[in-house]
Amino acid sequence: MNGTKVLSLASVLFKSYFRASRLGRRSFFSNPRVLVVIDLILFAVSFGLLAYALPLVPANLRSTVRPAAVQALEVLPVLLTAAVIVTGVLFELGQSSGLASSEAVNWLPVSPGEYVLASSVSIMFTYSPLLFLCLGFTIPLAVNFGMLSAVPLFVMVSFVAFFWGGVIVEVLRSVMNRISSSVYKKSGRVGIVLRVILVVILLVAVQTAFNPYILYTALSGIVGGVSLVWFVPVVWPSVAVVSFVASDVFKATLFTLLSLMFTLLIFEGASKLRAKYWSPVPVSISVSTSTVYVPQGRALLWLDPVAFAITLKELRSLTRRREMTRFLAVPAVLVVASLLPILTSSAKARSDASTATLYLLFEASIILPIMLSSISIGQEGKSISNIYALPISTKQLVDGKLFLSWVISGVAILGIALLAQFVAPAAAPEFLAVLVAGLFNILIQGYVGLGAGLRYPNFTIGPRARFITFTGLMVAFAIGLLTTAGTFTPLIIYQAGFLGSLSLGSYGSALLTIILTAVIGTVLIILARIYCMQEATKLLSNMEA
Amino acid sequence: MDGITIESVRKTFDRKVAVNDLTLSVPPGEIHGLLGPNGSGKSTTMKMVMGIIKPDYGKIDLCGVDVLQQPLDAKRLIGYVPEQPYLYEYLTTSEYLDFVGIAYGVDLKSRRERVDELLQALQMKEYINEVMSGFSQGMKQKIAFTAALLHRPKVLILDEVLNGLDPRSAKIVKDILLRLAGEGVSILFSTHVLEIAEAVCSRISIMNEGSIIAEGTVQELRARAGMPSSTLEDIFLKLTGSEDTNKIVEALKL
Repeated sequence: MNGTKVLSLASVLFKSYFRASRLGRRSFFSNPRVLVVIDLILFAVSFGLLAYALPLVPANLRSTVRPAAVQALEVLPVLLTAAVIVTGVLFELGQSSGLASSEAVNWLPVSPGEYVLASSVSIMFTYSPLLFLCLGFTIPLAVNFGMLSAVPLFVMVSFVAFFWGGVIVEVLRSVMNRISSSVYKKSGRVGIVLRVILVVILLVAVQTAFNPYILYTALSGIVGGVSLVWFVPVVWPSVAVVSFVASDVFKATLFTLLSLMFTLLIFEGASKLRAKYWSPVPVSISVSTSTVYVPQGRALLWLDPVAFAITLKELRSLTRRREMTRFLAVPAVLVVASLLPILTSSAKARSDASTATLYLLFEASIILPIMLSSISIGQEGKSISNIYALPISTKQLVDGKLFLSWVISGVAILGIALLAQFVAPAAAPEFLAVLVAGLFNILIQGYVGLGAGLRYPNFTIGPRARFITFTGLMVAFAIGLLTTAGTFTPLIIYQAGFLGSLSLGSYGSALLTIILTAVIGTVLIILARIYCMQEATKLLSNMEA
Repeated sequence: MDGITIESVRKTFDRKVAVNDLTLSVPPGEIHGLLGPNGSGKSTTMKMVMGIIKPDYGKIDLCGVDVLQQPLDAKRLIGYVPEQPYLYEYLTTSEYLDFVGIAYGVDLKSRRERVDELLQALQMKEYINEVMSGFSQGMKQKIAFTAALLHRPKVLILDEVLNGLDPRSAKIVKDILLRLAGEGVSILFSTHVLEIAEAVCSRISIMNEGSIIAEGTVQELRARAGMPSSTLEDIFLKLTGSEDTNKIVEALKL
């Protein structure tokens, strides 16, 4: 194994991750030296804050805080491993399989072991601010509560646990490539559907797991339970620290050694898997065994055949492209993330149903349509040349692109409304008024998002591709918030009880609210459509060279 | 007027002139080869004919349709194969051809006949229900070529159409082009393979730095270059000022 080659490759992987994804090509943060400085600043600030604050804890409270300090030392290694695995898997899901198979590293003289080590180091480095922040908070706790001697061991096992995260991501990547290729090749359309379902479930599970309430409950369970599950390798670093704090040197040494051996074992496993499934070869997937061509093409509702063909293409893009499927999970994530706080809140809070429903629909009716429609242009990538070359009108493009985001957002809004109604029922007139405002807002925000997507597309297809520039996203959400405020104004007036003086009764007030919402909503739809069509005309009139 | 007519077209990107006052006509039945070194303006010219890049000034007319004024009508007349066929690789062949066929307004019956005969000729029929992400460059090129011919275009714009094709498929494509020209289709054809240009094109334009520096049949170009018994390659190298390639290779420490 060549150390220089490994470090050089790790640096390339780290830079390509940053420059191709979240922060752009000229990103200040993609410089490894800058990240080292950030790491040190985070460590110094968190360390300084706690070192300053802890001596101020009153003596009578110190006995209460000490167990928390021990728990922090205990939980941190497990948390670090989990955090790196989760973020690593999410990154992998966002990567185009076509890109993965054409990585230059596949044909360079790099051994599987060198690649796994470099990739793990680059993942560790990418998420190193998290590690340094945690260490900065935890070390003062250990020092302040008389566990100074445990600090070197704690720092070492934290690094080991962090490294595990990177290596396990490599294992998962190889396994995912293998399973993905086999399932696709053998089961065609069924495989496509299965993968969509699995990705959605995975993303919902990850988001749920990181919900503050669930996380708090889970951590409470882990603390104190680490010693009980000593046979699970992931907790070995934690067991080593706990044993050392409890002055059980033999057990601390044993579990430290076991942790190091496990490091070697998973590294070897990851290298073997990488060697076997070196590169994900794009497989030919048959969606039907027939070789007969049966032409398709029809209109649907107000969509002419061309617009409907664009809609179908969008649907297939969402369900078949690995980097797109994650967007399908967003509605489900939003539903779960929104309803969890209600489900776990007190009965009194639950009874305030109308406010909760209003909040949920307000949030979902902005986020979903803007997100889905704003990415629909950039996700074309270089294939946008098809749209330029074919005789597709701006109306067909706009209608075809929007339909799917409207349908998905509409279904999600209905789902949220019905679930919220089930969890915390609101009065029927109020519920209807809220629903109408939500549905009108979806139509408006679809146009707003697509307009921004047309004006600020990002055609770069790469890891965690965003498909719209950061400016575009900000513009979309700024216009989205303004127009949403307009659409929801009658509802806010109604909920504030200002219509009571009109003596219309609950149904009358709700009806007036719905009519006012419809009028404002229709005007905003017309304005948003004009904006969207103008942007579509501009985009289609001249392709960037 | 039928065919392709380009009049005094200019295109600049920032301050770089990509195409400079270019005038060219391709009458019906002509296969017009567009040759030139990399960056000479061939692809930009083709994209302007397609109506997907706006010229700074000038006029482009396809079979009487002004490309700038009526871009959709112009696109309906054209079949286009780009240098890199960026297909929707997550679609199957049939789904992609459906998409293109619907956009061109080809009815179901004609589409079935056309797709069947073209895929049969290009030996792609067995891949009709396969997702295209696993296709080779040549297979993608065949699909792009099929898509370009679906609606029986009156004008064909082909940018390196034979890239990646095996010899048999390349021969079939060349034969199809000759037959289409015989049926009155105007074909603008760009290639770097000069033997192919010599074999297929009835007239050739050589571009350099955004301008046409020579135009005519191969015989006319030979006469103009004063090289009556030379190959098209020698003429090309002389006209584009890059004939002294031997010195370049000798200077390399291979």
